[in-house]
Amino acid sequence: MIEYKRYTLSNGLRVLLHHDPSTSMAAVNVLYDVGSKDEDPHLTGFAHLFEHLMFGGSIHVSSYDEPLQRIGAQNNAFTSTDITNYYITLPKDNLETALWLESDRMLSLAFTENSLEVQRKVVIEEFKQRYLNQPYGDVWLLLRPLVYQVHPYQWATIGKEISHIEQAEMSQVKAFFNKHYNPSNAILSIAGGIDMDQTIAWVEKWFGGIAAGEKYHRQLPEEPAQLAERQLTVYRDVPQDAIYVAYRMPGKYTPEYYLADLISDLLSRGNSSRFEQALREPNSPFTSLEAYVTGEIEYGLFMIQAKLSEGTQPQDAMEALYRMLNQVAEKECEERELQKLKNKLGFLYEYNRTSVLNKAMGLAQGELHQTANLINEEFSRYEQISPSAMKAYAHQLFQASNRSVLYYLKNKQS
Amino acid sequence: MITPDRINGPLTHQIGSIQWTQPQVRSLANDAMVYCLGGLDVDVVKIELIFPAGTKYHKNLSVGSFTQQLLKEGTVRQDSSTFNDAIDYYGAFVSVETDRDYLTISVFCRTAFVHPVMALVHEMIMEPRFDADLLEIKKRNSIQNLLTNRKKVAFQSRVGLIGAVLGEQHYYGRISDTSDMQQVERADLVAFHAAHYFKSPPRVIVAGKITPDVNRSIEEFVGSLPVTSAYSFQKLATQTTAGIHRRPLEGAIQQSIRLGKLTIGPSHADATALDVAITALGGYFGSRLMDNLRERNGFTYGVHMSIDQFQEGAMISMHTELGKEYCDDALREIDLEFEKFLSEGISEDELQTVKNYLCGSLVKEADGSIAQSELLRFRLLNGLPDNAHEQVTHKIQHLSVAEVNAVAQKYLQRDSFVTVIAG
Repeated sequence: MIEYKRYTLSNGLRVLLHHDPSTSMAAVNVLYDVGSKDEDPHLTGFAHLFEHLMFGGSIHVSSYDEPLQRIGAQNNAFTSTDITNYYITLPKDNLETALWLESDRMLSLAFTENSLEVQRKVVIEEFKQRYLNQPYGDVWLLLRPLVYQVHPYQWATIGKEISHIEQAEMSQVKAFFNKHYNPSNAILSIAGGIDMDQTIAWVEKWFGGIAAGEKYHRQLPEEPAQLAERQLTVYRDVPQDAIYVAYRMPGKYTPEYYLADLISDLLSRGNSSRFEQALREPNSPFTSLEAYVTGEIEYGLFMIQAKLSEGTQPQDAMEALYRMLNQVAEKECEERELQKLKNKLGFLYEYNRTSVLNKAMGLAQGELHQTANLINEEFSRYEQISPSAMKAYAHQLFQASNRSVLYYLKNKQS
Repeated sequence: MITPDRINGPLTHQIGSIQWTQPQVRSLANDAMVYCLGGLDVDVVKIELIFPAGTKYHKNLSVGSFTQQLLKEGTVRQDSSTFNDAIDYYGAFVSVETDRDYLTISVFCRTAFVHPVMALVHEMIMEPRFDADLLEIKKRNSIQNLLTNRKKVAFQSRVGLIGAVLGEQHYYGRISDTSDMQQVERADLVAFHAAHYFKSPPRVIVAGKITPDVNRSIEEFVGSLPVTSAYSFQKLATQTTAGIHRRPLEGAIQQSIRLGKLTIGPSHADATALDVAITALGGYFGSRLMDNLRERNGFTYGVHMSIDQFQEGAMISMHTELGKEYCDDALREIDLEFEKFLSEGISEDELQTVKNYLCGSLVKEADGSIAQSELLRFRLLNGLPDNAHEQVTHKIQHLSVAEVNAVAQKYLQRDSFVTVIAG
């Protein structure tokens, strides 16, 4: 059980504190309820570019990183389709410095032209390094628009194309900040060897005076139901054919999410899982095969990615794959197999408690959805799942009309 | 409400001293040394067994690598599926990893299941099945992975760098090619396992929650591992080929630049000062190279400099990936930063920041017994005393500008580095 206290400041900032007496570290996590789904379709990649600009100095402090390095802190951030998340770990005695820096950049950024120009170039290099200059790197750039026709999940966090990042202007940066980087749109969580009373006093001191700003009300287009299988075939300079199958499913924290997550574990977690054992069959059509759920908030995807062994025809590989999925949909797994999956998850939940940063992030993510207490409740949602519920959901999930398939094939000459 | 001083920020405090847990050390019936770091209140234990059975002990590096890959694939008594199902059923994670020097088996589990899990680990070490069909599958998959990696500029520059700095024929300087993989047969695995897994007892690091059951399981299943006669190993001398090495890769839109050179190990008197100098030049987000290449010029997503440690040596390396159009400018800026670092030296202020950054990192790396077990592993494998990390902290805090500058002059001359450009 992870004990925590919850506060809401008068400006709407939600605050979660967790005391862990076993550590001399503290983790500070600031989650902003803004992701690439909140972007203008003509200016994609902006939430992530903005994340870079959050390190370019704030209204009163010219360097964000330098004061943190001086107190032995480490920090980073990530942007997803749903959220932008900033975090710091540091020796607990200097916790207040972290609150100073986080509050100042929530108050206002410095908005220097130079920072925009440099970070624009850095993000373009990140785009190339991670998506364009890697074998199979552009998979998500292809798959997202295949699955989503109207919802903003149709573009990746990095953006649809480099030109969008090239075109970003300072006026848009400021507007984005004013719209999304408000206390009412953020969750601050702090975990570690902290003094709870002192910490909330500091939070009030540094964050309490920030104006609430205008509350952003999200209105995203609804993705229509998918009625038929979609396919896309591309040829690239890669050594091996690959196939990516995406089944649409509900978002994170829904009952279906937990069912789908356990189905993906059944197929793919641990060496004794069904996919791993299939990879060990002589003449397996696959050299790698994995399943996972993506876990976005609005809608999710049940993903399967496969690399095919030399000489295997994609159609034959697909048939072998669908046979395995049908088994899950048509025959209940044994109680023991399901218990095995729950035991593995139980260990992971226990192990995660050894990290203050994991705890701080977990509290904030639960709070964003509904309640920070999800961090304590989630495991029981898995524990309640039965073999018959898994089978029934697999039957619904693995319909041909519910999937999009990307055939990522090697050029004939390579 | 108190009005905060946003210009100056709050008062800061000296980074507090680390609470080091001293390992409890004992030996088992077969002379295996066990190092225990207890005190975790979460019900998790980590048991690490370190064998001197890395891939360098065979002229074909793939032999050790496939022996490791096949180790977890079933035993004489149970096939891969049954064996792995048993481990997974206990919710345990057992990983088998190898590098050039060591084979490491790591077990993570709830303390209630430690006895049956360690029984399985014992069976795996003593009676691996080494299934010939599975070996063929692993060979095929490894070859495919290698072909994919060859399309990556970072992989190409890494291969180029270790070859140039350590020697293309050296066990630290080469990687397996497809024919090495192709040649491996089941008999090679059986022979490698027999020759190297039992030549000396493993070192055992236990961290987390240590219950009587944990100790009993280690006595029973690690203390009973046999130890055969010692094995003589012919060390090779490394051989550096200086200069600039280019590895073109068709179709690449970015290039990967790496610099590297041989250097001193962690027990050398200059090691701490060198660590500080490398951190200042390229080892953290506020470093000179990061500031120049990323934060001022926007040439790259990142640049990093660090020391790679081997049992028989160490290598300084720097790495960055950037657009082809920036490559020449970036190389010039890298040269300038080295030159400036050596001619002007580190400043008091910069040194203080690096010291605090490094001490803060160490606080994080020492947070809890599982984290401390990683540091303990580093000390054990490098023959450092129990208090080595305390000494390092003390030494970092007392280093002078002059000491860091002297070490930089000695070890960080730009022309002493090999340069590799891939892409």
